[in-house]
Amino acid sequence: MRWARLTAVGFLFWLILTAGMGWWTVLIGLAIAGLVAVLKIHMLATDSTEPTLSGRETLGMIGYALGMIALVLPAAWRVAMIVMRRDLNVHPGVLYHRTTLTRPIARTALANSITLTPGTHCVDLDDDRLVIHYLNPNFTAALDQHVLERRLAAILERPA
Amino acid sequence: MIEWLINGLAAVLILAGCGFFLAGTIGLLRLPDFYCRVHATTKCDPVGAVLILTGAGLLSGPDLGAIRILALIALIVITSPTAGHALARAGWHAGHRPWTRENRDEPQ
Repeated sequence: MRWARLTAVGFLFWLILTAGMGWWTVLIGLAIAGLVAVLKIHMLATDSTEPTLSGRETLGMIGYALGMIALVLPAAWRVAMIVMRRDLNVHPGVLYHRTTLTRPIARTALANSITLTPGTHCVDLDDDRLVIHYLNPNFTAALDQHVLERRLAAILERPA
Repeated sequence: MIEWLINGLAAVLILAGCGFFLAGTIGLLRLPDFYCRVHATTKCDPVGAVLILTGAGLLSGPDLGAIRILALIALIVITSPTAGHALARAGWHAGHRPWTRENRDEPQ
């Protein structure tokens, strides 16, 4: 059942990208979607106790993703300016950060958000500890102020 | 008039996207070590791709092409940080020590 659901989602995505390109493309897409679903089930660990996202949480995450644009665009500009400068003013380092988020999906979203925010990159996620590489210490301000964590906690962390 | 505005906005977005791609490529060449280079490729490139695709979406108008472009944008936004994380994690677990100005090791 799970395999069929994953195959259907993958195949739908394939159809959106390749609609109108002939039957061979449809058959190839179906085969690839099925193969990817098999690989996903057998090779990627999943937590069966993790509840799926509710409608409210899904809408919240869409709003969160749109809100990320306000963080990503200016910071991408700052990184672009750094690499274009003659003196290449970078002071890279590694930061260990403990998150207060408890749900695996919230921690994954936090790690991806940190990676999408230029200047910081999530290198490893081990339980509640994130290893973060930064280009300059001032890029970690949003992390120090727990801005992303507070937003994600409001959307994904359910009260016990 | 509206068509002229849409074409102009699309041109600006596509040019800006190319600029971010260029910055990402320059960063890949200039930054000192593996982890810093991952920054350049996983930040500037998705922003560049999303800007170029948004410009292309404006030019294609509200049809199936625009839905395809939205799907591609979603794919890039999800896969780019994931691929960057996988690369950096592999490097971290393989024992690559990040270069800093303090330790002044030869960049890896």
